[in-house]
Amino acid sequence: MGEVILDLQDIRKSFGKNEILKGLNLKVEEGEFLTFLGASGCGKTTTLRIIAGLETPDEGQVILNGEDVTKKEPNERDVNTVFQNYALFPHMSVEENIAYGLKLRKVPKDEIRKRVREALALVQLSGYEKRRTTELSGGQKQRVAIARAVVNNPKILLLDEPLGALDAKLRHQMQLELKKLQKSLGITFLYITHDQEEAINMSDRIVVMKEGQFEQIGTPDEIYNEPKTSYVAAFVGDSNILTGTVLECKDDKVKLAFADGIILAAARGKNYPEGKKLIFSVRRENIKLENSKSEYSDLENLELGDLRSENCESENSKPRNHQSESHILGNPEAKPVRAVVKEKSFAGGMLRIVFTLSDQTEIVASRQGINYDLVPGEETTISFKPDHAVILEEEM
Amino acid sequence: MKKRQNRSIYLMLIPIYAFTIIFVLFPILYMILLSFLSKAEVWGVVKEVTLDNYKKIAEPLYVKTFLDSIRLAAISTGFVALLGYPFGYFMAKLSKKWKKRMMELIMIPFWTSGLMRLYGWIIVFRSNGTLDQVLMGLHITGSPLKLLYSYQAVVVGMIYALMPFMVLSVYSSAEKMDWTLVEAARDLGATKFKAFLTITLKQTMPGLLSGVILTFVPSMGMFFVSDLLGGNKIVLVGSVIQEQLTKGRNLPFAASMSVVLMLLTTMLISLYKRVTGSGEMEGLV
Amino acid sequence: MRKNSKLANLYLALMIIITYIPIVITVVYSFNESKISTVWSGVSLKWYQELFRDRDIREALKNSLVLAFFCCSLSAIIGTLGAVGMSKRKTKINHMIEYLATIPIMIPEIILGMVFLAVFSLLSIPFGMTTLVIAHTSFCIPYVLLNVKARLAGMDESLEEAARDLGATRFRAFIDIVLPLISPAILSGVLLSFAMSFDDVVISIFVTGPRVNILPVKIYTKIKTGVTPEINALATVLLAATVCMIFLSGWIGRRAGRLENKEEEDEKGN
Repeated sequence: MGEVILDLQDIRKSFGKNEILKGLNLKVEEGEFLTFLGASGCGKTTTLRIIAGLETPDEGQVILNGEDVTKKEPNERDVNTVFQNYALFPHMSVEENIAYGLKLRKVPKDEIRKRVREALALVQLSGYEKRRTTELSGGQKQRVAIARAVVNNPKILLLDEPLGALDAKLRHQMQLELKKLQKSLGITFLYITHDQEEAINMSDRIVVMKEGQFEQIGTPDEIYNEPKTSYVAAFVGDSNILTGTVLECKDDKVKLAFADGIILAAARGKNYPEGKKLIFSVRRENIKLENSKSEYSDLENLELGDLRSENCESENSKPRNHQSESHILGNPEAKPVRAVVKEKSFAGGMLRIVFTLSDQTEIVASRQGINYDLVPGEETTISFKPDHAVILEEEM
Repeated sequence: MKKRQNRSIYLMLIPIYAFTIIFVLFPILYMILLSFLSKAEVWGVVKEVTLDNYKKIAEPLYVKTFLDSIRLAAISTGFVALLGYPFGYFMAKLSKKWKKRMMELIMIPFWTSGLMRLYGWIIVFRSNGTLDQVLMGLHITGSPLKLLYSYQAVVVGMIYALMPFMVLSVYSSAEKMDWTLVEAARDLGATKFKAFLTITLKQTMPGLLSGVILTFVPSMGMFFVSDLLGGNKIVLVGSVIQEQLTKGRNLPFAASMSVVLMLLTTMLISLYKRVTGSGEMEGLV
Repeated sequence: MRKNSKLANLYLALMIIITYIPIVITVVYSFNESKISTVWSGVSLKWYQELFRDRDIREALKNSLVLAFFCCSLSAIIGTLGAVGMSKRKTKINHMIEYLATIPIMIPEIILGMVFLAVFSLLSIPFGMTTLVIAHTSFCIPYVLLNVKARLAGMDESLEEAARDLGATRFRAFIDIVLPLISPAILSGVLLSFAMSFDDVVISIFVTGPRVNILPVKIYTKIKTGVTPEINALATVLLAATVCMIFLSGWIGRRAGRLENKEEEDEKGN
């Protein structure tokens, strides 16, 4: 670990007039599990294809293991790919598929047989040698595709949305297996997905891509908790992107005028001049609701991410109810924001509540469960912790 | 990498480029050139540009030949469409097993020599042939009908030779048809007939049109059908071109007739492409 | 809704029967003893004996087979390479060449025959097997080209890329992956070409030489001079050969179809 195995230097690529990649720079370390995360059409697949040698960049260099391979053919690169649709050869058996790369390298027959068997054992498909690939299920095809790539001991394994075609349950299982496989093989994995959950579960580092550029590169924790741009904030874990005006900046906290209230956000070492407009993001589940009408609903007002505090508060919540707001915010100057419930809907195991603020901004909060004691048209107040309001590095 | 890829692609394309340019493009251009020259005394051409050949085509005799050919082609195509469309359409509604059987049944005569198939009709049609024997045996007619060497015999021969093209074209577009649309139309209150007119016919139109072209175009040049079944009584463009080549030895005139014929057919094909908006003919392969 | 009425099925049956009437009659009369085909005078194989003794026919059959062999191989190679090359680079000029290459099956045959006659005399290529092969190849290429093109359009491009990624050179990937996958299309194109070449009268008449006899031309002149039971026997033999070919191609199609059906079923399964 620690050695740079892949170095992309100012990679640019256009198809016709379409600029797909706009100057990418990236260093990948050996043994790393790196994920390219982005919506379809953001250029992540093209990036992978350039690394594999299936596309040539218009400008820039691909340095693989210290060697410039920009102009090399795919068969001359020590890189293997697991294709999105598996791309198993339909006229060959499982064994022939996996052995194909080794055969081309003129590996002796006995060794081929041995390594194919090992590769199949690795992906838990022992005994499937003679099967036709067309007889396999989606998950099995996936495993064969992985075995076919890793059997060649590549320096880097490229995986282009390998789990996209599988159902949710199988996908989750394969995520764990892939991560385990990567750990045990020690091969660098470059993984493409548009699924943020997948990226966060598996990666050492995540590269968020948008329109041919890297938006943010960081560990899953950084990407999730400290998004730098509104795109990252919105793409990774459904955030509200909001704007506020700086009133004051002190003690590493920024006081912002937001809608008809005042909120506090963590400044994270930065200083913001008074009067400056800032963009900040707040996750849906971090939006705290105050419902003056019903007391017990305050139980659910707590941050879901923080199970510990939920437990302790549910035991003795009633007596503390009315002080909780100032207690959490830790600053009496904060002034809750008035919000009117616009609609409620249930999606993905979460209740989604849309509010309209006094300045017509819409804000979305989510809660677990399906019952929540708010009806459309009702007025309440919202607030959030300073740490949960993440100021983005974006100008208005 | 790009350069290397290009090189191998060029290598692959060389044969087809070479063959097409030398043996398709060049001959066609040469034919067009020839059509503006005139015949030399014995054999060969005079290198002098003239429009005489085209003027000659405009003469009533040859105009009539063209019109006759178009008429025969149109009649044959009409019958082929009338008989072949329902065939292809019904065939698409058969079960999978029967579709396959039907396909084989159609392909056997389609793949046998076209001449042999015409030969069968000669036996049927000729004086005292099978048809006469059957009809006279049933006492429907008293004497031989002399069907062979008649216009009707030629039309039957044409229909017979060209039917498979229509059936296969219609079948392939009826196969691809979205039958739920028909059901939807019926559900919305359309009668069976109305649903057929508004939905089915519309969806199978590319197949029908492509069938019409695949029938009409070859029928303009099938001189051997009228030769064998019509006994040289019907003079068609194909027969004239053949005659000019073999007997008249007038290459330039044959070329100019071919140019006119080719213009007619390419116009038809581009009309088809305009109407259906696609470059591919249904059921061609 | 997707079911035929009895009337429709009756129509299908009737049409098939009419289609087979001349064929059945030809076959039946090939076993007729009498020379006059209108009179039935008992079952006999004597016309087959005569057919096999006929040296002209044997010669013509041999020539036709040689011709079909050459034109099928040539059109298989040219058409396949062309289809593969064009699928990689969809330029305007490729499109033009594809259009030009399919012209021979888009225009009436007589024009093609006329054109070749003119060009071969211009280039003073002696009329005979060479000219026949060139002319037949020209109308066989489109069948291979269009068939292979259709198959390539349905083929997953990433299969070839996967082979390259696993270490295959461009050439190896073509031989190992692309060729086996398009081979059913090549074969069906070739079979169609074979049938077309074996059947062609119009073009052959113009480009054949005085000393090269091929079967369709031979049959044509024979029919023109009159009906003899020997032709019936020949027709029957050719028919039998055709039926064999169709079963062969059906078998190939089923093999290719099995692969594809499985793939489809799989996708549905997911």
